[in-house]
Amino acid sequence: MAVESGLILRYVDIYPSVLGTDPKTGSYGIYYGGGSAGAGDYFPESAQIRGGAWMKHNGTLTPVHILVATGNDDVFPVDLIYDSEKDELTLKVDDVAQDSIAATQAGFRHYNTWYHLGYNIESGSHASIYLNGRQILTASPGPTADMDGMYWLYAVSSGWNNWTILDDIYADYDVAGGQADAAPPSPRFIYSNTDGVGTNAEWTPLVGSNWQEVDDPVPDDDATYNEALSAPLLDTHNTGSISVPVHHSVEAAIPIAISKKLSPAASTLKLVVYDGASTKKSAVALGVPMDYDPVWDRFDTDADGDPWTESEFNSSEFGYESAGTI
Amino acid sequence: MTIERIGQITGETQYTSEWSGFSPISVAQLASITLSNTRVNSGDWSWRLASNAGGIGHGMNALSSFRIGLWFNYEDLDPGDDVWLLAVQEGGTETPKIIVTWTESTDALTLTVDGSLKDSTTAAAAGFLADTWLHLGLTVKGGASGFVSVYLNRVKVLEYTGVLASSVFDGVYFGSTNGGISWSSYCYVDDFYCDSTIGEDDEAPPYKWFVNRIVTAAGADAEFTPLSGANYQMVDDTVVDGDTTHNHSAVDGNKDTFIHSVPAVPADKQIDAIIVYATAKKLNAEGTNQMKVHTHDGLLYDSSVAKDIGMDWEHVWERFTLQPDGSEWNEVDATAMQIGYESVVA
Repeated sequence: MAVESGLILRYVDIYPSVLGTDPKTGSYGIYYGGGSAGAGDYFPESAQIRGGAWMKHNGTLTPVHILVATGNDDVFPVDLIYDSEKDELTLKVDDVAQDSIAATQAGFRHYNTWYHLGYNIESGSHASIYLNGRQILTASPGPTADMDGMYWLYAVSSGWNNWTILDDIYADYDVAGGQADAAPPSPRFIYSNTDGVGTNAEWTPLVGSNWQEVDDPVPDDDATYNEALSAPLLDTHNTGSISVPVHHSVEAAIPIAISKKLSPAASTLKLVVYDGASTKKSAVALGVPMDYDPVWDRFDTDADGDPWTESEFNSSEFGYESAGTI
Repeated sequence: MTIERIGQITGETQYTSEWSGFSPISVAQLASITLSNTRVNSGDWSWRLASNAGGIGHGMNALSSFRIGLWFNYEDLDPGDDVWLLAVQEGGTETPKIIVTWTESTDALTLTVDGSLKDSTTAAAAGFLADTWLHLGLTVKGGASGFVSVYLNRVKVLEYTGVLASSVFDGVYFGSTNGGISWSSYCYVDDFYCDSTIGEDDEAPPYKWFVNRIVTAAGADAEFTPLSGANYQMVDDTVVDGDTTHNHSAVDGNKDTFIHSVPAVPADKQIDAIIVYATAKKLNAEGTNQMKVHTHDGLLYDSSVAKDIGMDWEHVWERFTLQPDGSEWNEVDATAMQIGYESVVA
């Protein structure tokens, strides 16, 4: 049995947008308003998924799919609908309503308050929704089909028409299934950008130093980048210091490289963490798309295999190594 | 027969999460609900509804019988203004099941139940005076042998007895707009409470005033870990300050107990209950982290049951109608009583 994680937002339409006002963690949240489309991610078809997000809202006048799972060509395997006018949260499985609760009863009508909304779904077994760690909706058995994506705040008709902010969205998938139906954890994601030269600089920068090509607060695509025309080539950079919130600990470091390959060749990439002595690389070389997209890996321990600490994170360098056929 | 407090809204802690909002509510309607210290019925703060405000109230967990009481003070209601003084919602219904409407153009005060007009009077006859604190009460029992009564200053002004389509209700809200302009100027709301009244007869909801006391000094227990300084200094905020100052525990059974400030009980009033608040949150959705609150007289503790905690700062509270030794409250004992909370970690 294996569990992997994903954290990428896709299918961004006019809304949602990135907003620097009042995020749960870091500097930005995902803002929905005025007729939002859904945002989420897809993943390998899996029997079981769990995940969650922090959510703050001030209500909506229109019904919204808060969560939809994909994986069935005909219906959403799981669909959580919030109908504000009816004060109702409804859980549909394979397009059939299986459970509902008044939003007031669920504690979903305290406006401008952060909630953690989670889900734990296994095909043929269960579909459960958790609010602040408390199960508020459940259905058994779960959907008939395995799932391959999860999207937040997809419009029923006109979408979320007031504002809501999502932050720290994640999804875990389990290809085989069989994990207990329990409340998903509520992790938070602190962002640390490249901010200085590191030990390794083997890629070719467009101009200037390697680290300066990948220190963009906002990705600037072809304007600044490093290029590798052979493998293996290694870049590692210093990154900004993080401050772990009080009472929290570092569970994992997730290096992200916004990457693309220049030809259909089998170019791949490994993410890297380096502490000045030890180097840890992605266990498997990761595919690189033809247009800029995040390529990432999740390191549960530091370069020499110890649990992460704030100081260990801040003293580590992070980078990437070219692999495959360039 | 039981009367049990399920919520109160006072503004004294200056924290929005003490109330839930009428649904649906727009951005503008939500923004039109603010704290105010311009007009108060008791303490230092009230909630103020401006023109086009959304309703302010309390959600409940499928209650079959309840009562509310609140004080309100309005500045003006112009011709054309139209306000739902009270709206009672049931999950699964788009329109409130019980609506008390004040239509200024006709001065009509009407009671609508399940979409049908059941009773009416005029605001003038009921005594709706501007710039005056008025006490509004509502009693409701759902189902086949139901009733709805509306009281102004404890005098029944509207009533219905008979069948109600709903057997349970999920929220009661004051002052929302009926699809247009509501309060043409401000309306202030203070000392709002909601009680479950299972098995009780229809009687006028009593007047209540809520006097706020703030933690001022160390008491009998200091087992949580303060972010800095002393435990009591982390929870003596006049305005709830979120993560800035707080105490923390990851261990079951830790207690903090404090001494608090002593505002006088108003003349001709008596203490009905002590309501202990802890503004708390848990840090992870996993696990069962809960909290108890307690009173302590130096010898005995009286603790609440373990209560759920949200993921953002919210009030966890219990209403203690008696002292730990079972005696009635009086001002001297209430002043000497210590208050606190206890961690419950499963």
